[in-house]
Amino acid sequence: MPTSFFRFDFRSTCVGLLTSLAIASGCPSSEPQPEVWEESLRVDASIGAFLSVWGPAPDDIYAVGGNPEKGVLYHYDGTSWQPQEVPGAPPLLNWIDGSSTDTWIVGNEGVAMVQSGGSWERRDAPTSEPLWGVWASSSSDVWAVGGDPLTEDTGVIVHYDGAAWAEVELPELDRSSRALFKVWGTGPNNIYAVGDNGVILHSDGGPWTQQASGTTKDLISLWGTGPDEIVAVGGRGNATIVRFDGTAWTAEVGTESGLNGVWVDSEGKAHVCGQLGRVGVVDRDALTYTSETITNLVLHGAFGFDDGPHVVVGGSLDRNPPWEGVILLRGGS
Amino acid sequence: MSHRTTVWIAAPLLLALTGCSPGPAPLARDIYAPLGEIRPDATAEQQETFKRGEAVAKRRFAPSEGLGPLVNVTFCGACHEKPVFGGSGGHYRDFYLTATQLSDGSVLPTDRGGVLAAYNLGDGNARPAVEEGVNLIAQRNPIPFFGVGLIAELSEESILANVDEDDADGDGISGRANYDRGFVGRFGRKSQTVSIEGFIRGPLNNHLGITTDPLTDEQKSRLPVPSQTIEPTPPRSLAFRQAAAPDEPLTDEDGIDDPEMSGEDLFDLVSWAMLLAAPEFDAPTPESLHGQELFEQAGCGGCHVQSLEGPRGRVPLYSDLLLHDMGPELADGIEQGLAMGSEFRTQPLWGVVAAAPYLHDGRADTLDQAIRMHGGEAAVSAEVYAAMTDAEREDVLTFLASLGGSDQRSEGLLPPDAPIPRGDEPGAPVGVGQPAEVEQWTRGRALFDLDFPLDAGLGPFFNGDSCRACHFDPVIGGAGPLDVNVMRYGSLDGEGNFVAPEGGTILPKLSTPGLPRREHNSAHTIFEPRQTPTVMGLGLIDSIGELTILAGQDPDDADGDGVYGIAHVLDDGRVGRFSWKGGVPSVREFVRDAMSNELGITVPDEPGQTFGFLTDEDDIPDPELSVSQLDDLTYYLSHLAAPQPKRFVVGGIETFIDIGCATCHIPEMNSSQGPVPLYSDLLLHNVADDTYIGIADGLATGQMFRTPPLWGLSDSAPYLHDGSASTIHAAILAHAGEADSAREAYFYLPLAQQQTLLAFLGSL
Repeated sequence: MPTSFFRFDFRSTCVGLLTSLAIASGCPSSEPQPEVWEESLRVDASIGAFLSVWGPAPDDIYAVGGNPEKGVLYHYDGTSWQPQEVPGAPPLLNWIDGSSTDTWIVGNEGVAMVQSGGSWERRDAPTSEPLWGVWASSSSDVWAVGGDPLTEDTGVIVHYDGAAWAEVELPELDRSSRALFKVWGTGPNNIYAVGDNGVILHSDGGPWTQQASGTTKDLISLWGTGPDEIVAVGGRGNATIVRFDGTAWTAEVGTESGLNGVWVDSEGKAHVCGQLGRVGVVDRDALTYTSETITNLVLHGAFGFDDGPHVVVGGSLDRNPPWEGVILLRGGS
Repeated sequence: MSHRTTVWIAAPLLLALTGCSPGPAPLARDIYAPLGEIRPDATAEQQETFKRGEAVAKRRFAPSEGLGPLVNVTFCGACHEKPVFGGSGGHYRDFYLTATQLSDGSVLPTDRGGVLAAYNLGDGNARPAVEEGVNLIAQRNPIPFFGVGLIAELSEESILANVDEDDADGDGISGRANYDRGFVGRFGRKSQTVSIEGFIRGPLNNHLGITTDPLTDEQKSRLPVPSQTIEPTPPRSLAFRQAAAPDEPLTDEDGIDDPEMSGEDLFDLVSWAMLLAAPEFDAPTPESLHGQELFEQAGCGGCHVQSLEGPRGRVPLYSDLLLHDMGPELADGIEQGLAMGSEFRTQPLWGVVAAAPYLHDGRADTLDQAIRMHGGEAAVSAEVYAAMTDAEREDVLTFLASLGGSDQRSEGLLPPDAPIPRGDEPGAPVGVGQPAEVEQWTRGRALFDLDFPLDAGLGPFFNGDSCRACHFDPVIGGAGPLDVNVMRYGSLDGEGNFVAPEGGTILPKLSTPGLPRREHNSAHTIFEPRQTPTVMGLGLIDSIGELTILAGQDPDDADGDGVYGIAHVLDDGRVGRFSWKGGVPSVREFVRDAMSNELGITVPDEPGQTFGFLTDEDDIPDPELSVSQLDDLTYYLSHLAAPQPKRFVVGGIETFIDIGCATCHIPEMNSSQGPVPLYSDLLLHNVADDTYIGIADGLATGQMFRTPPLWGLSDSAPYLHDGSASTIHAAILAHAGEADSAREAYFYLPLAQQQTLLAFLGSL
């Protein structure tokens, strides 16, 4: 069940202590309070975890997730999160994207749905594999990727042309890869997909080809601002950040725990989140980031608006129940 | 704290006390004990947990309990037994890590952390092959667990204090931390693992195929090392780094429900490891103190720092737990976390003298060799050591030997003062009375137990590094579990006939460090693991006359009972009696054969003896075993008492005879030493299913096996030639061919009579 707002921030505690000391020492503080992450929603095992977040406006944001048996969709109206009806009792929903005119959701067992008017319609893909990512350049150019990393199968790419889904052939890879986790592009002729063992695929509108990533760490998510500014993150045990500058990918494996989510703002700053409830902003040159722990749960997805709010979602599905889910917001109010 | 350790640490303590500035924290107290024992400060409850955990570490898993499908070993203690449970393992417990270096230079480990399994319990028993594309194959020798709970307690700051990634002090020694999930790594050859839970769950999965769920927060809160994931009260931050165990439940596809190890068993196992004491140091001597001084002068202490500070005080592990570049001399290309192919964690030196072989792949059998093999950042220290006088080097080695475990060190696994079993005890001698005989028997036993070092000729390909490596259940000279099965292989020609590979049907499990394992190819479709039977009583079997064996033959089933039986007569006329195919004619030939095929030890040319290799491909002069050593081993095995009956089971033998078991498993054979109650006719019988395709050997077709003796049956599981039966019941039901009628008779016995028969067999 959803719980009420719960303030959760270390920095605020430290700042509070410092402020108290400043007051005690007689020095008035005129420093502005930094924006802090606030727990906006926490759900229990009856719901599960949140895996992805996206929205067209600060008061119109969606989060998806659930548990292996039941997918959920929540909507934020600028004040609170409310569960939404989704058609056909889907299993876990993994990703939501509204880059084009349509908003798409994908999930386990090839589930896909698109928002039509105010409601959602099922447009399931012809695969039983979990779909982890979706991105569209238009209503007739929708890409979804997936695959089960625990099986011997390879990853999956499916394309929707406005009428039907079709499975797309993967290129021959230089390594084993069992799943593709996210897909993102700048237009119909420039699309990237990332997956396990550091796989990066690219399509210029034609067949997909593999690009050298410089890493064999799993890449979980990617985002960018244009053809020459794309960031992919992952790494599981070691935070891995891979940046494309329009020419080549550069990889950096770091000391932090693995990353799961990335959202890039209009200035090109990559906001990342990941394991151990950590968030941060990537140093574009060093491909490192300074982390801040904002929750006890793993974070899966990041999204935001330049003027706020920034949103991260997460929760544990790794362990057996009880699961937990969380949505945290910063700024924008 | 023991007297010895108190004395040893007194000098640094005094120095600390006499200093004016605040000195380093005192050494931790109450953490030292002989290798394998529990920390002295453990509570009564922890002592109970320790006992339970040790039992889990020693527990042999069966396939029905989730073992496999891909397996290197069947129990934790298999790799951590030297010199006692919790320690390291000999060469025979080495394993392979595989990975692929891609064209962009990145390294991709193969599944299961890169661990290459030696056995596949499914898939027709086929030896798991190296994956296509793999171009990095490295070896690993097991790592000791002593004091790991104290290492787990160390603060990250204490480890990071020695980091000098850019060699700012210009001493040629860098050192950086490895990280896993945002925490400083400290376990594993590359410090790739943060938590003991992770250090146990990973190998359980990768080496045993035993799946686990992560410990719950509640369980973590009860571990001897604080390990809660989340602080119990707000702000509920992520707590101690020991929480950074993998969060995922592990699963496999062997048909057994996951998790295959219960949470409480895992808790006990992790607790056991955490409670293992730090090795108890010897009291210093002038020689060891001088050695310590030389050790520091040579710069060894730059990486092998004496101690790191923990919550109980300084912990004298002689390691900084950091990664150091060991140069091309030791590089193996394997990357783990941040560690690159030539980087390795500084190995703790406490207890090191008792944990040979050394270095990540066990390439050094002695500490002297290990030091000389250091490269990269440690090359200068190795050169300084090499330039020392013999006496100085001896003092360095004396110092290292003083860091715990010197009085527990063994050339094999038998303790230095291992008593000779008496009377009916398993492993006891028989027919050994005179002092000279006792001496020879003891020498033979020591040879049987000896971990043959590389420079004694081990390999280049081998299954075990000692005879005891396979024959240790329940005691030295006994049987072996599934994880020491010997793999036989071959192919079929166009007409379905078995074809042995060039070089023989044994597919060795291991190779000496630096040498690729011998692999099969796609033409090899026949695999047959061979279980290790007991060697107790071989002398009695050797005393059975050839005519007695031949007399039991019934090649044409003249008596019409459906049971045939032929002797394995060799080309030279001798009658075979040992091995699963019955092709080995004497104890001496048995020793020659096993030393060559299982250890890669060449044997001397002896008149009339035809088994064993006279030469091999390593650089050690042949023969690698002397005649006198062969004499001692033969004497030991010839005078190792047969298993003794445990009890009398009323009605057992009658049922055994009634249903036809005794037709092949005849209770007694006459010998020059009197009746031999071995429950075998030593003949070959076809007892396999019609569809079974096995390894042919001499007169023995692929479906024929020598009737195995049944004495000591209850202590020699698993059963059948391939160890596929975990219980005696399952073994009986797996009989076929000539044993069809006996199996059916057993199957239709009333339950009570079945139980009687099983009790009888278990009593032998």
